[in-house]
Amino acid sequence: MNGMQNCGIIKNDMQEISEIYERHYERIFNLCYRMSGNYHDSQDLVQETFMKVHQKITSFKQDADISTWIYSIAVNCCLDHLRGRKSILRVLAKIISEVTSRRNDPSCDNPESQFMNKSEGLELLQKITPRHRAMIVLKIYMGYNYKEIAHILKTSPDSVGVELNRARKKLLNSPGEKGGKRQ
Amino acid sequence: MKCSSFKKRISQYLDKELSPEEEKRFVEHRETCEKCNGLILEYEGLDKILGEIPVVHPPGPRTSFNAAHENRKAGIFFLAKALAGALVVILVAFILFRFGSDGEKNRIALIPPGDKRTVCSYEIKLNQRRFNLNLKGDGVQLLNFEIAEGEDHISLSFSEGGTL
Repeated sequence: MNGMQNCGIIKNDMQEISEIYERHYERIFNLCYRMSGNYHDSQDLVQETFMKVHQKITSFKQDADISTWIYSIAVNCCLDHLRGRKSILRVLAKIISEVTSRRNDPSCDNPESQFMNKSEGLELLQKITPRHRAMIVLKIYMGYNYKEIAHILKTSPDSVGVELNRARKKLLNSPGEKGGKRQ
Repeated sequence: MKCSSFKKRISQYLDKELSPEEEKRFVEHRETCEKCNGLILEYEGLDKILGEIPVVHPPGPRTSFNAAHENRKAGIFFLAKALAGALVVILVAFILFRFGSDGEKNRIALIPPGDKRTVCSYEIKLNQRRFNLNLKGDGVQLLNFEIAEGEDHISLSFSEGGTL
């Protein structure tokens, strides 16, 4: 039984995932929220991220940083979502989200209400390409350096610098940006 | 440093990715070029707006990976476990009968609350039928699931995969 073999192999990994899930859940949710600009999509994307983590945990290289690895999966889930790619895991994530959100939990009577007032920055982010958005989020929200961003997005640090410059320039020139229309 | 070189390095400057020598030349230019200094101020204003996107506090992870949970008295647990076991048998029988081996085999981990006295209740709608899954919160639960895509529907079925 492959499943039972997995059960033994991944026992420690699963414990680690559980801990990381608890520790990084909010941060990954916020990453997905900035990328998608949508509360419900963020819920689905967080679910999908952890399903992929569970699927791929056996291929994770132990010398790498597991949290960066998980954020990398989250970013790529978001990019796939924004490119309109549908995966079977996303369908499952959506089903689970819908099932769980129907339940009554006193801690989240109306969890969406706190997201009704979108910030100017969030609206601005939706005006640039998903890849540029990922770079901005990884830099400004996650605080990664160019080398780390390059690793996550499979490019070079120099390209990250060039692309971030383009992204910021585009944001500054976007109609909604205060003081925009420069150059 | 020329204005064109300055503009190309604005992000690297803001992100502290310039070498000390480059940063020195960059700052020198900024101090002597009013136009470029104004540009930098705009970029810094933009970063401030982007950095001020509020951190949202979604419902806790348990409500995401798990349905809402309810504490039950110890006497109920045995019954819930028995019901969950029966449900799994019914689901497996249903899968075998309905889908054969067409589905894609997968495993997911559901993380119930740590309290052993807690039961997570999942309600799943499948082909207009409703199913309930009850999981006791004593660690990471593994579930095998199968998904079969029809022309106008997606079928999802679970079976027990063990507990860590």
